[in-house]
Amino acid sequence: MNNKITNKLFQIFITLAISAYLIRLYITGANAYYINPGYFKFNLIMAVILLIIVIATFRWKLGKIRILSSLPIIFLFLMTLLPPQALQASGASNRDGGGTTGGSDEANVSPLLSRDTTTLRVIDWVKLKNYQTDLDSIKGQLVDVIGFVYYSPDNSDIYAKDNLLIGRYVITCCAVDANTYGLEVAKISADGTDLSKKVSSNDWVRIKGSWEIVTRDNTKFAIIKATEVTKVDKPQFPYEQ
Amino acid sequence: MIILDPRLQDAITIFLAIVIEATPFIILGVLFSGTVGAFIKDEWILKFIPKNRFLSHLFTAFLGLFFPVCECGNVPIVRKLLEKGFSPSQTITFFLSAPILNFVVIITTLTAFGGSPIVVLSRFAAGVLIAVIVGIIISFHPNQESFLTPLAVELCEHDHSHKKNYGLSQILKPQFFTSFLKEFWEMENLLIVGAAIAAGVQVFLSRDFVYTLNTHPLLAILGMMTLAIIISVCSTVDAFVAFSYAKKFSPAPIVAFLIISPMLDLKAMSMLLTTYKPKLVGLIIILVISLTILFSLGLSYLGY
Repeated sequence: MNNKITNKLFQIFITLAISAYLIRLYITGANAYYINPGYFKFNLIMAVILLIIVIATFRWKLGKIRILSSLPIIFLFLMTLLPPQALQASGASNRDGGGTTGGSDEANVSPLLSRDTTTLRVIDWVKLKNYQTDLDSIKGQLVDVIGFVYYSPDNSDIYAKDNLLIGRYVITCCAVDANTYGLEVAKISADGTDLSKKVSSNDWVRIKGSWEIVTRDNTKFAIIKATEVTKVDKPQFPYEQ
Repeated sequence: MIILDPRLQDAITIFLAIVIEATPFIILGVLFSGTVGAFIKDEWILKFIPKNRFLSHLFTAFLGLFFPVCECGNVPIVRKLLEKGFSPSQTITFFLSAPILNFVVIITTLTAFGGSPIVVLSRFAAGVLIAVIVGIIISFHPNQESFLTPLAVELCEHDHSHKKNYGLSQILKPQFFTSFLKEFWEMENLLIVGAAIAAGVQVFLSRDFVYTLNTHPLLAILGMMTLAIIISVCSTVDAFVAFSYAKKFSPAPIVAFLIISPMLDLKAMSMLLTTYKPKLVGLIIILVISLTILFSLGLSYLGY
């Protein structure tokens, strides 16, 4: 097999593998670990276009490619052989935006105010808390959320050090822009259980409870007093939008 | 099942996320640039470019409004503009401004910072201004072609030495497909390098350092600029990332982030090396950083 044919087959094989990988992610739903669902169809269309072009190219002469400058694409090929994984909860505190988010204006928050509070997600509560000028308005409201457990960084001036956080990554475009949004949960639950002994960092949990308002350094903070904490499987869509 | 260290696993996830997100835009960009090449005659475009140095760069700065792709998809378009007869300095102006003056970016910036007009206006004004100034500075070089890689030189010379045909028939020819694959291959290779660097830096460097720098306007500006380069988020959504820092930082460092993020994106800069020599890419980085610092310090001086 001469060098040019080897190059051509190599180039076509790798490009086919990339398009097949993108299509496979769409079919299996593993795209959700990497990008916002809003891009799923666009990705599929572009992958199919790539596939068609590669197949069409098969009968035509391709220019020479240098193996050395193609090492990155070989690296990509190897990475695609690994099982798809979402971002780990262990990096959550490094991505914690401190509870500030866009979309906390009246237009976005109004629909949330009329909903059963137990249907609100982590990001919905973050928006609601940002919107409220007086946190007392959510005092006593029921919470039922699913997320992973993490702890705030030691230097945080937003969360109490001992309390745990139930968080979700929120992505706008893809995992690279993931920000963590967390809700503070009192270390001691309503029935007196020390939650830090019941759940650990990275565990996916469902927490039911209600909001309590506490004051630290003359500032009010909303904290969940848990009534029920159960470990759950990681959801199919691990990120919120 | 393979179990990796969580940070290494996160780096792989982010790396793949960047590639999975950006690859379709590269496909779109290469297709778009091929279609522009097939349908739009060189002389049509050249007829519209003003002869005046300032106006010609201002003109190319606003071209981004007609190319609704982010920074990754812009690189194939930069190459096509070169082929069409734009000077390297004009294409650099386009490369820098297009990811900012883009409808999607305008909408997301307004959504995130609608309540802070100074941030929105500064981002777009400084984006255009810096892109034009950098382009004009480069345009004074007596031999701009010396900045091009041999491949880019070949690309330009090849096109101008033949009488070309245009129309639908051009995109059905084997040449269209083979050059698509060639260009896609080049871009994808460098995207992967940029994505690997961005993913590694994002996972293994803590973002917390920016808070410790928020003690002096200059340090805060430098901190947010560094953060923008480290996380290399797509320009279409970087406003939301910046917004999460808006509570603790004044507008000047936030604006610095919003200027640097689309202009000095690690992925796009890597891909730019397919067309320009490292010395020009280095010069662009120095100029953009210096001008952004100046602009942001000016804002800070005005009380923002």
